[in-house]
Amino acid sequence: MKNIAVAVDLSLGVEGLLLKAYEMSQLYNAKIWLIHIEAPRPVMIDVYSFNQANLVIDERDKMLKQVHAQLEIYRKELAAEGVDVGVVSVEGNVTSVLLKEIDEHNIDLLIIGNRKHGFFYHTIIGSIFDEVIKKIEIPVLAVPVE
Amino acid sequence: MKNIAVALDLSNTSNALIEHAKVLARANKAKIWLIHVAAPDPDFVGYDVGPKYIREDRAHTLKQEHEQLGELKNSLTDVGVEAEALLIQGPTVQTLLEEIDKLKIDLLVVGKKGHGLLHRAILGSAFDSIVKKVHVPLLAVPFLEN
Repeated sequence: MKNIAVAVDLSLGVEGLLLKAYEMSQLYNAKIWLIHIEAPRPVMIDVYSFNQANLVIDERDKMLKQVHAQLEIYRKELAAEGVDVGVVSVEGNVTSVLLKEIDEHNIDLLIIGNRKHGFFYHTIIGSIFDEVIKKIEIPVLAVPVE
Repeated sequence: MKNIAVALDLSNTSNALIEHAKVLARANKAKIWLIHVAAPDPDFVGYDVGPKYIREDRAHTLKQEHEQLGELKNSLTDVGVEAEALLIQGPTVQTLLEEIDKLKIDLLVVGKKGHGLLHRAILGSAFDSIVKKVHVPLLAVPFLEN
């Protein structure tokens, strides 16, 4: 096992995922890839709410900046422990881009959070996690997060 | 990580799953629990006792599974990994999750087979419900179906 990827969405529980990734990387002497996929920038077509559209996009840019800063912090923390770390942050359809990146970087193990949703959530919304785990062709370590 | 469980269906993928668990158990000095949940005994409505040949066939299958599980366990203890084998009868997912609770398992290793859409729609899979319900980290190892 040479490359371990962590799907990072920067919500609660990331630390738990990173800790697992660190443990696994020590065990296999592997490189850790922090992968963050952002859904694509929304397209605003309603000209009358143009100002609002700008607001949404500004908000999103601000958030993305924060995400990148946070990823950099995690990268530094892991690097300080002597781990080889790569960061990937891309925009696009979350599941398909994640699977593409996994392919591209020859990832051997994906670490991902498994959030507990209720029945209705599963039925109506589904989740990225479900999609990923259905389609992925490498071992996955699913860590429960509350 | 003290207790690692491997859910086995005793198919040809079992060895690969155990290999994964072995690496992790060695690194963490953990104990491996090989768990196989056998289908419950069929009930025969309208008979006091079921047809004899079916009961004999079930008994034969269970005996075979018991032996197989014992061999897998020995393959681990022979190389110095602490291991225990469990053969339990009951509804697969529920029984498995109960055992995980009881044994204070820290990681569950399961195989994931790529079933087609039809299989999923009609039968669903034990894997899907385990992923949804499990409260411990889960290592899902994919196998391509031949």
